[in-house]
Amino acid sequence: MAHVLVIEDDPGIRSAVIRALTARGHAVDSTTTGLDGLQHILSGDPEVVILDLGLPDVPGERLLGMIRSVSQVPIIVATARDDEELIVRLLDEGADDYLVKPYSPEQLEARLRAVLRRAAAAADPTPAAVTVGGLEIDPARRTASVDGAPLDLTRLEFDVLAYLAANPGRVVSRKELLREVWQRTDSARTVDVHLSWLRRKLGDDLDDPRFIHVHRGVGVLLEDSVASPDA
Amino acid sequence: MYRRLVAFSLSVAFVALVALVIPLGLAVRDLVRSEEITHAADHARVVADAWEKAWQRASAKATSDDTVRMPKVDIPPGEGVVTLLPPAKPPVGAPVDPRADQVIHAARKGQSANEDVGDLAFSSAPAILDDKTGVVLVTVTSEEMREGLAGRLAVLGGVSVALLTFAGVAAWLLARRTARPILELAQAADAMADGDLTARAQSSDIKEVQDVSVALNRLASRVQELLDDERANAAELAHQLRTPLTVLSVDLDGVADPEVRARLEEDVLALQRQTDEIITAARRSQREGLRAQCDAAEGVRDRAAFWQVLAEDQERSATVTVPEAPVWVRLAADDLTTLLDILLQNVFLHSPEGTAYEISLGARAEGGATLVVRDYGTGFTQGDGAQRIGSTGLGLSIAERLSEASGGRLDWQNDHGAVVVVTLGAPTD
Repeated sequence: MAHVLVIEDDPGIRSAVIRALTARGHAVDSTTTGLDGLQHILSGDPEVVILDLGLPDVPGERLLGMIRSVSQVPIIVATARDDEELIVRLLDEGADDYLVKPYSPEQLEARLRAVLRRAAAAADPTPAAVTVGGLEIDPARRTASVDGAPLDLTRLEFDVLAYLAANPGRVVSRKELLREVWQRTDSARTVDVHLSWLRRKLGDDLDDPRFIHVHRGVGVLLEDSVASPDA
Repeated sequence: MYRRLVAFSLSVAFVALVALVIPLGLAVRDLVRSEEITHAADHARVVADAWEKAWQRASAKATSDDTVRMPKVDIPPGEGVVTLLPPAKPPVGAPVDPRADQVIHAARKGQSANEDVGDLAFSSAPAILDDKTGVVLVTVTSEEMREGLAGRLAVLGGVSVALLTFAGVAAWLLARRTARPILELAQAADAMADGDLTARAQSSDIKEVQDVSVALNRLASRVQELLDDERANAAELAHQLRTPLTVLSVDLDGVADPEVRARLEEDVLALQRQTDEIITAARRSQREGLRAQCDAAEGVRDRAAFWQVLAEDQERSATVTVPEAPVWVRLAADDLTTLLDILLQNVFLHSPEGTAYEISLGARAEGGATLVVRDYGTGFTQGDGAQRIGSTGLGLSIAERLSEASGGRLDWQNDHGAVVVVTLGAPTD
């Protein structure tokens, strides 16, 4: 369980998030302004920060830069905006992950786990990359390779691959991928077309795939059938 | 504008020159004629002097006046044809035109005289021959009187052409000076119309152009402010709508009954879809900027290629017919992508794997385009058009709204499968 700092000015969201995280066993602090949040980071040493962009005293994007200048604490940005340009900018400016409102407690928890896992991996001198057989994914650098050959992936393709890799040995449903990766309400066909592109880029044969295994009516499993002992 | 200003200036200069050159040409003609007559008069005087001297020499040799005979007179070269009219004797030289009577009569009285009768001119000079008076008559033809006129008229014509050229150059320079700030103004206006609201019209020393520049720049600033306001409003709208949804979504965590919770989650999801649609619609002006337009041919090619991989995975035959040339439609590129994705997504969602589909795009004669997406599946069933496109009907409403926003419409029908026909309007000028 983690020590979480929630910087959120909306009392409804703040109390709901505190309730949900506390119920999952996290220790939660909260502030309603950006500067209080910064003070808290300097003195309280939280393990992860959930940062709302629409704060009353300082713009969230600016606060992100201020936090990054004094601390490497993992930051999950929560925003009501879902435009690609903003999300890319936030990631470039030091956010470790983002959540588009409205989000569910499960999404929040999954993001918390992911950033904490990456933070722990970063602290570890061993490589932070996630490997699935011959597939290697580095979430920090947002790079991926198959048998050492780098892959040219779009942002969504990388996020899908990283999410599947973060859930090894588990069949992930399209609905879950939509919720966790897209954070929107697109059709499952959107997931399918991205999976088709991923399959191409990974060099998977549709009839005898190496990495992306579709379980009809259930979801998708990422597993290297070449490296797998069961293969 | 250049050409008009230069043509106008040249026309004015030409009219002014014509008004000046015609009387000037007539005056030059009269002047040349007058000069020729003066030369004829001088010639007559010179001949008269020569005749008088010859007469005096002949008279000195004669024993009496009666014996003085008409001496030989050396006539120097000069203007016109010379006729000598000795007293009481027939004329010597060229025949005398009867219209020369007046000048002859004047000379007989001792006075030189000139007369221009049109086709001829006469000059006479008296020659004192002892106590009598002879007459020297010089006749000048009109051909002789025109000598020298052509050269002077050529000089006049050259001066006129030079003046006209000068007027043309001056007009071109003036037109350029006048037109350049207007052209720059037009370029700034075009850049603004194309969405570059940082473009500004330059200041000009022409007051009227300067006034328009100031007004245009003020308008651009105002439009930028309004767009910024609209962007802020859209962001605020997203915040206002999504914040309570977030509270609701997170609070579902506290619902213990799994059945109730699942039902509420579905409701929140539906509400979220509606909210997304409202926010997307509110952001349309941001996507479009000042002028909504995109190349539908490029957009269709791009999305067809994107969905092609899934088609191949599902063993679907995809036929795409798109013109090579750009087909401009009144829609932002992102909105066209959304529209195409909705239609193609529905093909994949509502027809079994292996079902062929076709996408065709054609330019309309009146501008804009017609897009047809057809699949050879089961087609629409009675009354389910809205549900066929998007599981909640939202896809249809978004696609319809986008086609209507471009000035077109969306229709669907059954024809060996489902056929969706979308017309898209042409960009505004």
